[in-house]
Amino acid sequence: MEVDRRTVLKGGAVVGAAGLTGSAVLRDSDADVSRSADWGDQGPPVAYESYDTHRVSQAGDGDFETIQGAVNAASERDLVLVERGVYREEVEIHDTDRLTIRGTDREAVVLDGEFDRYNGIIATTDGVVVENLTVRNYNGNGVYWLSQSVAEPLRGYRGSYITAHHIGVYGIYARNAEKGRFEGCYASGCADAGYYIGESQPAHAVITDCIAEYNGMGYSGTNAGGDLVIRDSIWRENMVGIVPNTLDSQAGAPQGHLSGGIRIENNHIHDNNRLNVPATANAYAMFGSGVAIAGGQRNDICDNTIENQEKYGVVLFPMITDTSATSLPLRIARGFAPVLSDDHFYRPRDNAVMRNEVRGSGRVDLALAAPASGNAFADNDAGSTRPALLERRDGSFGDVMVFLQVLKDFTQTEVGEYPRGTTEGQPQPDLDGLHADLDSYELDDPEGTPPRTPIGGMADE
Amino acid sequence: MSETQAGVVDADVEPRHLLGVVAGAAVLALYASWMAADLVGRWLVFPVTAVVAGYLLYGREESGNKAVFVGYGLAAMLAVTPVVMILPDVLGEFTEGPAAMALTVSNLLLVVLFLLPATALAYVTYRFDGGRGIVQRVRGVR
Repeated sequence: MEVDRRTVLKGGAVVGAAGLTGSAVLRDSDADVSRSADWGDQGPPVAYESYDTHRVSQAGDGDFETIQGAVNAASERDLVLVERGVYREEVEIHDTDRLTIRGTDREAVVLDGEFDRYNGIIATTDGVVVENLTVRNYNGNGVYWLSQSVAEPLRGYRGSYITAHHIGVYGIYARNAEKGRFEGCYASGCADAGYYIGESQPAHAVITDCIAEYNGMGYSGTNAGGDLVIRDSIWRENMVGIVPNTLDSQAGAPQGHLSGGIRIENNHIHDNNRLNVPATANAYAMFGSGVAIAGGQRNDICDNTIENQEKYGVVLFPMITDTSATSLPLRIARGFAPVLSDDHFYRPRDNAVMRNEVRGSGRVDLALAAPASGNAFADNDAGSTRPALLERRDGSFGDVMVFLQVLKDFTQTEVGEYPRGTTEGQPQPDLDGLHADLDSYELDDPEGTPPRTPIGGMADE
Repeated sequence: MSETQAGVVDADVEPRHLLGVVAGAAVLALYASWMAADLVGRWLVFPVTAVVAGYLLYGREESGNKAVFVGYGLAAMLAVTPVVMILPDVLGEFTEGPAAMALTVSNLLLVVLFLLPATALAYVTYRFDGGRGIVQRVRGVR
C-alpha cells in the first residue's frame, strides 16, 4: 500500500479534529447539587401558648358532633380535637388562621366522602394544620390548602400523619402556598397524584417520611420549586413516581425558573409500573418512570435509590403540552415552530442528577431527551444511559429517541384510549405495612400535645 | 498480498476503498446501536453490526455499490425502528398484557412516521442504483 505524505497529513488533520470535537462533547460533567444543600431546614414547630380545645365526638360527649361545627366555633390558634368515628362531611376553613384539626387516632378518625363529596378538608387561610387522621373516598381532594388570592400565596400549612386513600384527584394537596410540610403521610388510589405542591415559587416546603402507592403519580408539582424538598420517602407501585412539571395552564411556567427547582433526595423509588391505577393523561405519558422531569428547571435529584422501573429510572424531557391549543396537531405545530425557544415548549434546563443508585430499569437507567439545555449527570451508580456516556457529555445534548417515546405516549392520550384503573378499584391500605415503612406513624400524645405552628420560625406570623 | 523487502506482509488495499468500508460500517453500526440501545447494549450491537457490515462492504469495490448497500441498510433499519421502540414495553412487566401494550393507535402512527422516511430513502437508493431493484442485488444479478 502506498501512502504519500499529503494523505498522511490529511488523515492526521481528520483525526485531530475528531479528537478535539470529541473531547469538547465528552467532557467531564460538572453536576453540582450544593446550590440546594441548605433547603428544607425548617426548624421544629413551636407550640402556641394560648388556645382553646374544641372536642368533636359522634357519641355526644364532646362539644360538637361535626368537625365543621367545631371549626365554625373556633378562634385563631385553637385545636379541634376529633374523637374516633367516621365523619361523613366536607370541612371548610376559610376564616380562622392557624387552626389545628387533629384526630385522636390516625386510623379510627375517618372523614369519609362516600364518593359523593368533593374535598375532605379544604383550607384557604394561613397556618392550618391537619394531623393524625384518615380521609377517604372523596371525588376531589383529600386535604387541600390553597390561597384565596392568586397574587398572595397562602402562608403556612402542615399535614402530619394523614392517611388519604381512594381520592378522585389529589390526596394531600397545596397550591399557591408557601412554608409547608407533609410528614408521616400516606396517599394511595389518587387519580392525579398522591401528593401535590404546585404553583408555588418559592415554596419553602418539605415532604418527608411519606409513602405514595397506587396513584397515577406519586408526586406531581406543576410550576413549583425554590426551597422545596422531597426526601426520605417511599414512592412505589404508582404509574409514575415523582413528576416535577411545567404547564402553561397554571401560573409560573416553567417549573423552577423563578427561585430554583425541587431537591429530590434520599428517597426509595421503585416499581412504579402500574397501568391499572387511576391516572391522568400526563401520568400515562411517563408511565414506568421513577423520576420524570417534564420541562422543569434547576431540580437537584440526588442520593436516591431507584429500582425496577420498566422504562426509565430518571428521565428529563421537554414538556410538550400546550393547553392553549386544543388539538394535537395544533399543539405540535405551535410547539415545534419555536422548538429552540421556551414558548410553549419547555426544555429541561440546568437540572442536576447526582449520586443516585439506579438499577433494573426496563429501558435505560438515566435518560435525557432532546432538546435540552445545561443539565448535568455525575457520580450516579447506574448502568445504561440515553444518550450514551451521559455522565461524560454536555447535558445540552439529549437523545431524540427519548423524546419520541414520550411524544408517542402523549399522543396516545390524545388519539385513543390508554390503560388505567379506577379509584374505587385500588386496594385498601395495608396498615401493618405502613407501621413498618414509616419512621413515625402517628402523633405520640394527641390529647396532651398543644397545637403548634406549621413549621419553625412562624410563631409571630 | 505482496511481500516487502523487509519481509513485512503488506495488503494491497486502496485507502479510498478502506475508508468507504469503515465509513459505511460506522454509519450502519451507529444507527443500529442507537436504535436498539433500550434492548441490547451498545457495546454489543455496535461491534457486531460494524463487523458484519464491514465484511459485506469489503466485497463491494465500487463506491456506488457501497452507497447502495448503506442506503438500503439504513432504510431497512428505519423501517424496523418503531418495532424496536415498542418492544421493551411489550416485553416489560407491566400490569397490561403484551397485546394491549403493542396494539395502540400511537404505535401505529409511529410505524407510519418511520415508514415514510424509510420508503423515501429506499426509493432514492433505488434511483441512485439505476433502478436495478433490490431483489436483483440480493441475487447478485448485474
